[in-house]
Amino acid sequence: MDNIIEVKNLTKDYEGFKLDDLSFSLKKGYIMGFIGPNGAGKSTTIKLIMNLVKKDSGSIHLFGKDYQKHEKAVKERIGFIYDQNHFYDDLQMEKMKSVLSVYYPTWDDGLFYSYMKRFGLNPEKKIKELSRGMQTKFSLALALSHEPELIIMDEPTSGLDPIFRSEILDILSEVIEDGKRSVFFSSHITQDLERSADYVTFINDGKLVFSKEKHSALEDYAVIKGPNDLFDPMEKYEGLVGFRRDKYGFSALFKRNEAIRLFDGERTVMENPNIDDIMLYTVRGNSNA
Amino acid sequence: MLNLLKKDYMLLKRNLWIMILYSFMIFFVFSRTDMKAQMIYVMGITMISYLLVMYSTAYDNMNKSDTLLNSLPLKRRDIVAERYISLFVFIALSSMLMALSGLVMRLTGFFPDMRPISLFDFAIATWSICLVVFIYLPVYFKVGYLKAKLVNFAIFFAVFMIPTIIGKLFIKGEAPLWIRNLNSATGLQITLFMAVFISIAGMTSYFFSLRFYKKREF
Repeated sequence: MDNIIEVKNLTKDYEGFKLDDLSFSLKKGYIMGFIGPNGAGKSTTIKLIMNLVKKDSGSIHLFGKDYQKHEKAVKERIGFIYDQNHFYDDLQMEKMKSVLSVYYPTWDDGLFYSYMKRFGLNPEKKIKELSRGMQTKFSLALALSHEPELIIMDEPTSGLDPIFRSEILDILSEVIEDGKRSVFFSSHITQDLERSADYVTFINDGKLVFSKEKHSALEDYAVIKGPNDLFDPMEKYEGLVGFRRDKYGFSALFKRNEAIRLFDGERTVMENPNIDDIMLYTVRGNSNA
Repeated sequence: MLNLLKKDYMLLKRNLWIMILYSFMIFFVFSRTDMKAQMIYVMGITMISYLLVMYSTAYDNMNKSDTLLNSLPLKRRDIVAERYISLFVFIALSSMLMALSGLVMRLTGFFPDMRPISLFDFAIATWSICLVVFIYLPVYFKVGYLKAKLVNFAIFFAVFMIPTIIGKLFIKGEAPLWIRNLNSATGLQITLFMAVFISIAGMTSYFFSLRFYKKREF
């Protein structure tokens, strides 16, 4: 059992949106970034994995087990962080902890208080008194204190300042150091992924664009820049993902092997894309300024 | 499941003072009506239990806690069952409160002729509140607190009307035979009637609640 998450042909149909035939997997000991523009289906996928919404078809296996048949057992091994506060506002963090901790056989109070200390959180404080960043820190302390084998996070860094974002990413890297845990986190802040993810799963409009090792994803593509006379926007180039064009020239994202075949380097520049480029060209497609 | 009850207690703790206040206030509110002697305890138990059920479901809604609870290693049937168990905890609590406040009212001389709470009060109140909550909970589990509020409106009136109607019928001597029989029944008969009614209605309600909640998406 190497795959901690295994999603196959997952489909969920809403009115006006369809998560369509999604498949990907995450191996033990790695961080997977789950990216896509707003409304791509990231939160829906996470809700499906957590069995908060029901799938129409396909399968989800967590730790090699069917997530619905073994729901309680698999959830004991998952730590979760959501983009919104779902804790009881009127409770102190200490009380909230005592409500949640009993559900986890592996809960470690010592670990919880050490995280609280590290994050500078006072357990006596009420949840409604916490800032967005402090709430995320508290969620993280709760999520890590039962030593989960899988940490699922939905936009954990959105709305946070760069210092705290960086702190979270450091903690995540620390958490997977022993190779026993995996992290699956959705984000539209691609810099966070560049920094911490080993694998990237990219979805757009409910469909999988790719799910692969981050470096391999980056190596698969190339950005070509050059004068407009070398690029015909009407032509259907093999391997073209998307382009931008203005009066000064064009820039286009190609599959790397096609880029090499089509452009010999004369009067064009080939650059390595980052995740942002891949997302941007894929989502926007073709555009003329 | 006990832990969910503990969670409700933590959330409702600060409302308990208001409930204590209500349990005394109700004697003054109905002091000038003919309801005082007949139905005061029934009204009190029903109202306080109802408010506790509403507060506890409102807290869960306010904090969008369904997402949290359903992300925990916790079965949906436990979440549903806890709501039903908490109802009986609330009935027990409000019965104790009303018994205590009735005693205080008598001993302090505010209402020296106030009779003590009886098994009959407890039976009618339990019957009324169960009837109401057993309708409310399946609606709550199907559509959530906000939408169920519309149904609450109708239920709210029913909560107060049912004991009132029963009480008035008693006073006029027009209560249906089975209710009059209940009044003259022995403790054992009342207990048996309550147990049969609550069991059947409760199981039916729980069945629908579970069915609805298992299909809910968050």
